[in-house]
Amino acid sequence: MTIRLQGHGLRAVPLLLVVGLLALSPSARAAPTMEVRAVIGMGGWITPAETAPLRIDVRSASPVDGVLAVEVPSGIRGGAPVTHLVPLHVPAGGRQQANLDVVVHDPRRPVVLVIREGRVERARHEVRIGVGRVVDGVVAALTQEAAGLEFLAAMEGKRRAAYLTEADLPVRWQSYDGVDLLIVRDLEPRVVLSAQERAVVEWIAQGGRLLVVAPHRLTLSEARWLRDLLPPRGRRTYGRGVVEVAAEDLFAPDRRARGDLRNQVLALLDDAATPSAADPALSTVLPSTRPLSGGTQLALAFLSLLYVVAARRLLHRCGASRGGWIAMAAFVGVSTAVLHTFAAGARTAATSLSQLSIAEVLDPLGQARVTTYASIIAPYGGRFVVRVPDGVTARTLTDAPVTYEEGRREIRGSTPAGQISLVARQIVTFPLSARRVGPDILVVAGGGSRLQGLVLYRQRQLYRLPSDFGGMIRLDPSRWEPVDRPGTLGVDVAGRAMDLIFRQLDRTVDATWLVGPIADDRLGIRTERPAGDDAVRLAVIEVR
Amino acid sequence: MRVNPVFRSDLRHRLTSRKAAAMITVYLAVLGALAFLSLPPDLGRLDDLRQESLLLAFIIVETVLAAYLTSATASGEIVVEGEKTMWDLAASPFPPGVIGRGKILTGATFALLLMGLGTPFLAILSGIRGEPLQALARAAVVALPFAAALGALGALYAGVFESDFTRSFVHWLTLLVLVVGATALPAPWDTLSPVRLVMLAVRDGWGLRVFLGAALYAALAAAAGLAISRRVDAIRGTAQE
Repeated sequence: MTIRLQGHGLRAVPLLLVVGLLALSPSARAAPTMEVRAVIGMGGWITPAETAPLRIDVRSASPVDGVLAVEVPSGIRGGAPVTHLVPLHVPAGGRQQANLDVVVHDPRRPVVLVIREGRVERARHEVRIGVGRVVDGVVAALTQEAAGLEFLAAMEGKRRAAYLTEADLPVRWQSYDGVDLLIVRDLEPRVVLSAQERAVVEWIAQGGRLLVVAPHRLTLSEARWLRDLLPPRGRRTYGRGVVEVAAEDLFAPDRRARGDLRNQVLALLDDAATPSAADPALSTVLPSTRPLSGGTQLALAFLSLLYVVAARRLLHRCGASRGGWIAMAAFVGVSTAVLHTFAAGARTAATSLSQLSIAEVLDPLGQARVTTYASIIAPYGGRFVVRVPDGVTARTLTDAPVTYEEGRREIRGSTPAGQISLVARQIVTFPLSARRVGPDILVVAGGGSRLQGLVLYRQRQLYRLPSDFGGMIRLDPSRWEPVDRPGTLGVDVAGRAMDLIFRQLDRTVDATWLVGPIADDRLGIRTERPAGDDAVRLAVIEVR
Repeated sequence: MRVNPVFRSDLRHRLTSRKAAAMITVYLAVLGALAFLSLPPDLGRLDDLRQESLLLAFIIVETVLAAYLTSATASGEIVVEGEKTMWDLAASPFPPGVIGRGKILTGATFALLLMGLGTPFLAILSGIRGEPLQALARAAVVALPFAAALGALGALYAGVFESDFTRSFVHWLTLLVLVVGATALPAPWDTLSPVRLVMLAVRDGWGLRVFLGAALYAALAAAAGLAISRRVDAIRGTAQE
């Protein structure tokens, strides 16, 4: 059969050739040059208003030198996102991993990942969550076989199982916020990063619960961090946390069928954790606004008065003269510039940071968990920048569209309402201990000159320790005073904070606490101009 | 360049006389006090003021004050020593048109001076609250024609109403009708109100409604100037009879 091309048919040939060439061109055939993968939550589960880990993996065929912007939808009106900015430097054919802690306020909307080089958007990826992935708590299990914890779904409340691999373990303890219990059954120690090891240990130290199943299956000789946590048998406390060992493999089918795993897990979950003294209510004792300083107000009043007097004189002298209008315009222009500059400077200077740090000593680990509540006060609104020191994680206490500069360790944002609250958490070395060596003899070790004005607290009773007791003091029973007597604690930030802390401590029955201010610059966050900032730092330690 | 002689004379007295100086001082002191009273941070967080910014509120107060002072001095409610009323000028050799234009120019220039003198206090608010100072420039497009129109009307009232009480009554009635009454009108008639026009100009910038409003007040000023000329003619006619 012969096909003869005539008329339109002939003219279509070059068009087909062009289309064919375009289809075969390298740009059309090439595979995507950039691949972005992201996993959010512990096993994909999210707990509302708690920190959730977000692991992002970027692979690129071509080099990338830009920034990865992670936009987490905020729940506030208007939907402005919370943005995390991560510097991205990927060589050709290379990859970069980023581990972030995000707080998901609106799981209905996706988390958006955008890779930009300069102003050019190189890639965009959406991580969908959905309300079905929101739970009250997670029991995470490091096990090769993803089965055994199905009973959780039938329990009261919405607690779910997350079966993890070593790669899924978070690198920061804050990421375990939504985890109620971590079970370790299968572990390859050689693939666990030191940051992941440290995160587990630090999480347990401050109240986490760990169940190690069948330790004989593990190569503990290569996981010293885990071996050091384990009790010889049964259960031990580590800091404020609990570590329990089940000698038998509770995940074995027969054990599961007998309910052994269920019973052990539920027993651990029912074990009430030690309440934290650093309740979020402490943020309410911080100031939320501040007037301009007296000096600034006086200077503004003086400049205004000066302007009125000068305007009157100038009008009298130049009002009738030729060129008087030019002089008047120049005078008004200069006065406007001066007063505007002064007022704008006063506005910037009025921005300050007020923070309250509670260092809860994790005796006998020689560490303290520090929770800092910070109030960034910009009385007239405007932008703020706070610096987050290494080892500290900080986030807004309420939903707010701020930007976390992960590379520069800064939080930037604006305060349209004049104030924004942050909470920062860290673990610091804090070798302080308090022991009763006799019925009325107290020994305080460590701390040194950082401790001043300490008090002993026990069930609404207070005992003020002298500033120079030299580590050991014989307590005089007659010197205990009631906390509830008006004026005992004072009405300043420290006094009101101690009142709230004591109410938290009352939840632990029959315990005596050492509480007091400490001078320690490691605690909390910083601003660019710390001159106007104020900080109250309190240590809390249980007397053993 | 020949300057309108009526305008030149009136303005010289308004700028240099003791009473005018005292009036401007009081005006500036009031604006300064308002600026100072707006310093407490919590004031900007009151619900009403969050909706309508403090800077806008200040511009409205400044506009109304400037308009009142311009019309009050023109109508003789605030007498400025040396300034000639329409009755005096009717006896002068100046043509009626020169007198009418001179009165309009005096009102417009005096309003411009008052608005300009208030700018540094606006700058305090703008600097402290972080709001753009350009808002004043936007508002001036409406505020100046409004104040100039009231100044021209005031000058007209000075020639029409011989009784001080009647003149003051009509002057205040005009102010209330334009500032309060027009603001209470339903949309879109409320854009006749200078308060609404200033709000529109500051919030949304220069739009058609803003320019129409400004043109309306400029036309009102021109009409008042024409009426002043006619009134001078009428006074001269009566005097000749």
